[in-house]
Formats: sequence, structure tokens, C-alpha cells
Amino acid sequence: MTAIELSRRQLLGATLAGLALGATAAVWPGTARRIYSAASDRANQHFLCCWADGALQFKVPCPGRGHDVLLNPLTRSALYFARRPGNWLTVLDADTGALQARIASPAGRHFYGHGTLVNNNALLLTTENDYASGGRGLIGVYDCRDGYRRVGELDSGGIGPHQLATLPDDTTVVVANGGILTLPGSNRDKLNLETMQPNLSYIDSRDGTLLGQWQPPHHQLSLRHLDVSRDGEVVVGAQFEGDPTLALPLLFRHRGEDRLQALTATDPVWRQHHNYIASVACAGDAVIATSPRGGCISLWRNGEFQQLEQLSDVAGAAFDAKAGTFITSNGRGQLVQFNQQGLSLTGRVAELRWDNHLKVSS
Amino acid sequence: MTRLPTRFTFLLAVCIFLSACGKTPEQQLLQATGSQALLPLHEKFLAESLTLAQSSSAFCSQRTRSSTDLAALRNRWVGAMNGWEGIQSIQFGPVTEGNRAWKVQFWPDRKNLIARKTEQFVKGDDAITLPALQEASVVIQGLSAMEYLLYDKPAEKLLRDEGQPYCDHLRAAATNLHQVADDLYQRWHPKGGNYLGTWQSPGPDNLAYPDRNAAIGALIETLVYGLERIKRDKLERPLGLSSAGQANPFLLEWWRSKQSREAILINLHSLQLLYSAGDGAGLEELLSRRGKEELSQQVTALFDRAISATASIEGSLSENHNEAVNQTAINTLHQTLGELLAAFKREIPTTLGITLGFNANDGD
Repeated sequence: MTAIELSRRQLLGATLAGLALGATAAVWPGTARRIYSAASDRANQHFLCCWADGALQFKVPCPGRGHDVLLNPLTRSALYFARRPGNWLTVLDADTGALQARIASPAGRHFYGHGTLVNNNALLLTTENDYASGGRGLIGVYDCRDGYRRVGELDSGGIGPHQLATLPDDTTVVVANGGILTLPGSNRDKLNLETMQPNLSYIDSRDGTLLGQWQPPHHQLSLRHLDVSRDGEVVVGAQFEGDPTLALPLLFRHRGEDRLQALTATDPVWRQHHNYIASVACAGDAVIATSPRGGCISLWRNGEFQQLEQLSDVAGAAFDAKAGTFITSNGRGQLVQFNQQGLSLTGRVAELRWDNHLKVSS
Repeated sequence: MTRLPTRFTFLLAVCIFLSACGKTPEQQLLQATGSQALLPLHEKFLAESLTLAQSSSAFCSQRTRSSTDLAALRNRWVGAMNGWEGIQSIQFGPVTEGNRAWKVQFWPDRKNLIARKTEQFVKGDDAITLPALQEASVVIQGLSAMEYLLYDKPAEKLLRDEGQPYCDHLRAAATNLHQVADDLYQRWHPKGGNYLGTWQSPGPDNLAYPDRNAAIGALIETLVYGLERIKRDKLERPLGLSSAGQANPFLLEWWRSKQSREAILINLHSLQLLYSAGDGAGLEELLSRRGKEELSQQVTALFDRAISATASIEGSLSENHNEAVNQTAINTLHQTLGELLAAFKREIPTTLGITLGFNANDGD
């Protein structure tokens, strides 16, 4: 499918469009809070899970480790992405866990583990590695209304595109190009740490136009995970691949400025994150970031550090708008609430290790 | 006189036996490892850092300072450094909060930040005081900066009047180190923050340790971390082993004081102590009780082999690592560390049904 075809499809969708939904939270009116995440057990079997009311609602086996999950109210689906370099994307009924669709990445491509929805949830965009042509970063386009059929692809604007998100205009996507070249045959080895060029790119999802691109202040700050606030501010977290004794800012925000704005904290606060941010979640002027290597969650407000809490192996993070609290998950099967009062246990599935990211519907 | 300790020892043994009754092997492991390894190791660091703080203060208060005084103070620094090396591998509890590890040691120092920042601090306009040091970069707050002051260019200045600013820095860093050591100890101790109690009481309401496996997992992760640190950061990278590129002795730990080999030796002794809990019911015994007597003994033998290989290295790692006489010892140590790592990363967690860091080891 060409860019023009995509554009026409988008325009058709746009005429039917109502209000754009928030980019990060799906809303299931009138239902209890449900938490969606991939997980693995001690026997290293992998599952696509939904947890609610103190128990697992479903636990569907999958072929390998999952990474992120996305909720689509339009098709009432939970979309689970394979972890890099996986080639599967599984769409489950978000209520029952019944299989709705199973998508494989095209030959010579693999998924990076993240996706986002545009055009009133009608189109799914995923980050992909065109490894057959040496590692070009791509965004795959899928039609949610047609069984998540692949309908096109766009250039991601860099190597190693990781997480991407939709801006409030429901058209522009922002993608963190991590800059790190990996190829499926090379055992997840990072092949270009000396020359990597990460960036944050804004792309028009209708035709792939690169609308803007920003680099972090150090070329080894791999931009990976991000979230977008309701007013369109992007907060992106980095993983530093350089000298591990350095303490660099690992979180940046951006909304129209001519460079990425580092969040402010003292060196010791950055050091606590061990050069590694796993998830970023926004809520109003607040942001949390998780670091499994640092075993900590940090809270930021208006770009400034507020609070840090310790939690082993924490990675997943999302905002539960209804409860007004952040939810985090870790490799010990815990789901832990985080607010200004600190941490409190929401639930635990002892036999599971929650994988990197989660989503909440409430 | 001789009967009293014997009777006391007997009573102590009875008490330990009675308190151990009714406890599961896992509970006994947490108790024994805490009382035989974790607390004593932190206590040693506290005691040595206090001695260093007192000695530094006395040294810097003297009107004249001799090279004999300097040599004695260096020995106190080695003592405190050894105390730190005993707990350096511990990756759970108070040391993981508030960058305490960074405040104690800044290493590796690829850009010679220690020398640069120490000189800036000493030559700056502000008074060299403990609060000023604690506000400054962690790079110059602890043992690493003190090593520079005691063993590098500032050392000879310490003996002259012009060296007073260096001595003020030395004294402030030693006091800061002692405060960190004291803070760590208090936070572990049952009469203080009682992190030991948190670790020894796993359960659903314990956020840090929701079950026994999580608590024992933290111990195994510490063993893995400590062994990896020796293998990769203390041997491979500085000595250019295993395709780690060219040797760069400035990446060695404690290259200025030539204590790299001793630090490894102390790490290995403390890791073995964390494994065995002395003669207590540690991980070593738990493996035997789970029918893995052979694995348990094999790991003990590997620790013994690694320790004797390290002890047999002649001279210092920075100057003598290339000498033929040391090649066998270094290779044996390196290979043995690989075997220990395989045991702690795979066989032992599998045997005990324990999951080590999941997301923390992910890299995505």
C-alpha cells in the first residue's frame, strides 16, 4: 500500500471521527480495573495475562516473551507484542482472553515490542526492524477493523525504533529511535555502540512525513520508552550505553522546544536509576519512571524530581485514571500502587514474573 | 578460667540449637546468614572506618607529619578499604539506597575524575569542611579520593604545611566514610532500622520479600553480582582477558595503592561466608538438605580454588599481571569464577526453584 492510499484511508476514517481518545489509556466504562501484561513463569513458559479483582482473569500461553500491551476500545481488544526480536502480535478479546487475531511480522522483519493507535483506534502502528535490509527502522501499519491486516509501512526516522505514542491530534506519532543496531542472528548483541545516533522523531501517520527530529545530548543515550501527557508533552526515558560511572539525565520532556529538555535532579538521583529507565507513565503534570536495575521508581512533577521509592525488579508502569494512582509491576509477580504516600501492594501472582510493561483499564 | 568459655560455648550452642528447632531450613538460612555474615561484615566495615576517621583526624592535627605517620595512616586506609570490600558485593538492603556505594567508592574512573575533582575541591575558594564535601560530587567523598590523597601526588604534600588543604579533605572524607558505614550498620541492625528483620521475615505483606524465595534470591543475586564484578570488572576489562580489548591497568580497582589483588581476595572470602554462613545453616547446607550434596561441596571447592589462585599471584596485579609466573594463577582464577557463576546463575536457582532478576537483566 502506498502512502497516498494510506492517506485516503485515513481521510475516510477522519470523516467518521468523533473525539480523539487519550493516547495512553483505554476506557471501559462501568467495569472494574483490569491490568494487562505479558508474564513468564518459573518454568520459563510465557503468557498473555489480565488481572482484576485480586486474581488472574485469563492467562493465555504464547510462543515467547512478550513486551508491551495495548488496549483498543474499538475492537475491545488487548494487543500483546512479542519482545524483540519476536515476530508475533496476538490480539485477544480484552474481556475473555479469546483469540481475535494472530499477526506475524513480514519476512525479514521483526517487532520491537511496542505499538500505538491512531485515527480513532482504527489503525495500529508498530515499531519494526527491517533486518533483511541491514536494520532499517520501520513503523508497520495495520487496519484494526480488518482483522489487523497489514496495510502499509512508514520510515521510523532512525535505527532501533522502540516505543511510540500518539499525540492528542490523533494523527502525529512520536517514536523513540533507540539508535542501537541489533540483528536477529546476533543474540541480541548491540552492534554499533560507538556510532549509535538515537533520536526522538515526530511522524505524520497519514503519509510518513518526518515532522521533526531531536537528538539527546549524548549519542549513547538510547531513547527507548515514552509517554505523552494529555496536553501533548512527550516524556522520554533513556538507557545510557556509555561509561557506567557517569551520571547523566535519563529523562527528557519535549513540547515544541528546539531541544529536548532534561528533567532536573541531582546526580545522586540519576545514579539511583543505574543508567536505565524501563517505563515512563504520565498523568497531568506528574510522571513516573521505573528502573529495574536501580530497583526504584521515581516521581517527577513539572519536570522536577519529587520522590523515589525502592521496589525490586520493577519495570511496568501505567496511570490508573479512575483511582488517581500509578500502578507498577515487577519480576516478583507484584502489582504495586504508587502515589505520594509511597508504595502499597495491590496484588500478587506468586508464580508469575510480570514482563516490562503493563496497561490499565478502569 | 578455661571452663567458663567452654560452658558458655556449650550454652550458646544449646541456645542456637533450641532457637533453630521448629524452623524450616530456609528460615534457618536467613537467620544464620544474617547473624554469621551480614551483620559481622557490616560491623567490620564500621569498626575499620572509625579507626580510619580517628587516625586521619589525629594525623591532620599534628604540627609535623612524618613519612612513618603516613605509612601508618595508609595501613588504616587499607583496613577500612578491606572492610568495604567485605560488603561491596551485597546488593540488597540499605546500601542500594541513597547512593551509599558511590559515596564509598568511585570506580572504575575512566576519565581520572577523582584526581581532577579532588584538585578542584582542594584548590577552590570554599572552606574544606565535612558539609562542603557532602555537598560535593560523590566522586571525592570516600575511599577513592582518600586513596588519591594518600598514594598519589598529594601524598608528599601531606607531610608539609602546604598540604593542609589536602589533609582537610582527607579528614572530611574519612569522617564521611565513617558516617556512611555507621548509617549502613544502623539500618541493618535489629536495634536500628532492622532491615535484617525485613529480610528475615518474608511474607505476603512484606513488599520487599513477598516469599522466602525472594529473600534467598536476593542473597544469590548478591553472589552473582559479586562474582561477575570480580570476573568482568576486576580481571577481564583491566587485564584484557576474554576479548575484552587491550589491557588497561588504570581500570584496576585500587591501582594507586596496588591493592587490587587483596581486594579480590577479600571479596572471595566474604562471598564464601555469605554462601556458607560460617559453619551455620547457610546456602551451602540448604543445598545439601535438598539432596544436592555434590553441588554444595563442589561450590565450596570452587571458592577454595579461587581463593588459593588469588593468593598465589605474586606482586601486584597492575605491575605483575603479565609475568609468566602469574599467568597460570590468573587463568585459574578466571576460569573458576566462570564455573562459580554458572552454579549461582543456573544450577542453584533451578535446584531451589528461585527466579533471579527478570526485568533487571532484560535490557529492552
